[in-house]
Amino acid sequence: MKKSVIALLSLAVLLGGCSNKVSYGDAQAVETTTVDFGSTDLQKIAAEMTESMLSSGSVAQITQGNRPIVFVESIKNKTSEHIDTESVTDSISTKLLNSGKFRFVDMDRVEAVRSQLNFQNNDELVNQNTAVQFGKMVGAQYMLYGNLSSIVKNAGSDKDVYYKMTMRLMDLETGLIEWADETEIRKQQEKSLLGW
Amino acid sequence: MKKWLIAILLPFALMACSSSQTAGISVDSGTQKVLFGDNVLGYRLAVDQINTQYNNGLARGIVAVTSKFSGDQRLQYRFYWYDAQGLEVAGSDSPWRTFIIRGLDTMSIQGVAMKPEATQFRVQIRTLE
Repeated sequence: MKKSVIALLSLAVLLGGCSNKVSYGDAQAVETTTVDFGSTDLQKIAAEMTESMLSSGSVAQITQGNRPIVFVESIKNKTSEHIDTESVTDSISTKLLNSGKFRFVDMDRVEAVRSQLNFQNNDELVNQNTAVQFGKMVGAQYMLYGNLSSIVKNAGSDKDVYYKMTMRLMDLETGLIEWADETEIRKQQEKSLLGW
Repeated sequence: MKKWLIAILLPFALMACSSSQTAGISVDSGTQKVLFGDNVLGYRLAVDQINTQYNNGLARGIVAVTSKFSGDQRLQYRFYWYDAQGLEVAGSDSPWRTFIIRGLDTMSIQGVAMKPEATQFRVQIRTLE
């Protein structure tokens, strides 16, 4: 009798573990699923870089009275992982643009713009009075670029990951670096013998 | 036999109790008020100063906190920005950021508003579960 009760209970516990549940989480929450580069790292880097840049004294000087035009060069991924660095630059440039201090030009969409302008200027379908003229685009004054590097150390089942993101803002005319900063992230993973 | 049953069922009973406190501490810059929603965290962490600075036309919030606990505390915080009328500024959502405060140490947590209209802030501090 008692054995059957235990068998029944353990069966219920086992089956209970198999249920599949989907729920929404907080997109801004701290995520620690694995030690790899994650959403929290991306958000932290983007937030700290924009905050540092917007509150820097030299950036205050160049944004005084005008909104400089910035071109975002990609961030070089020097880590051992695959990281979508374009997503990091997207977050940073969106925040900077929303602050109202900078304006951006996007080099990634040049071909699409060119084909649209070609269509407008050479096609008989378009009224030439409304066609956007060639050669009216504005050149960038500053270039924003950076590096993302990592140091990974393993000791048995323990892992320590260190990320360092460096960003710089260069004056394209003079080549001077107007602003630079770094953000660091350290993550540790310990696998215990017992427990989940 | 009964002891075995209890031993097997106890971990599952305990697992059900592990829903964590999320109230935390709320720091308001406009009224300079600190609201302690979490008793344990309230005993372990004190808020010393709430300051607002202006750099380059943007508000920077600085909150100094002191640990009243001798061990390390792993906490997280988030800044919420409000305009002069007390409305939340659009696009001011910043991520939850983690920080470690060592035993009886003092440190400051900082945040910069992304928009010039943001003048007041609220910081929410919670334990990192």
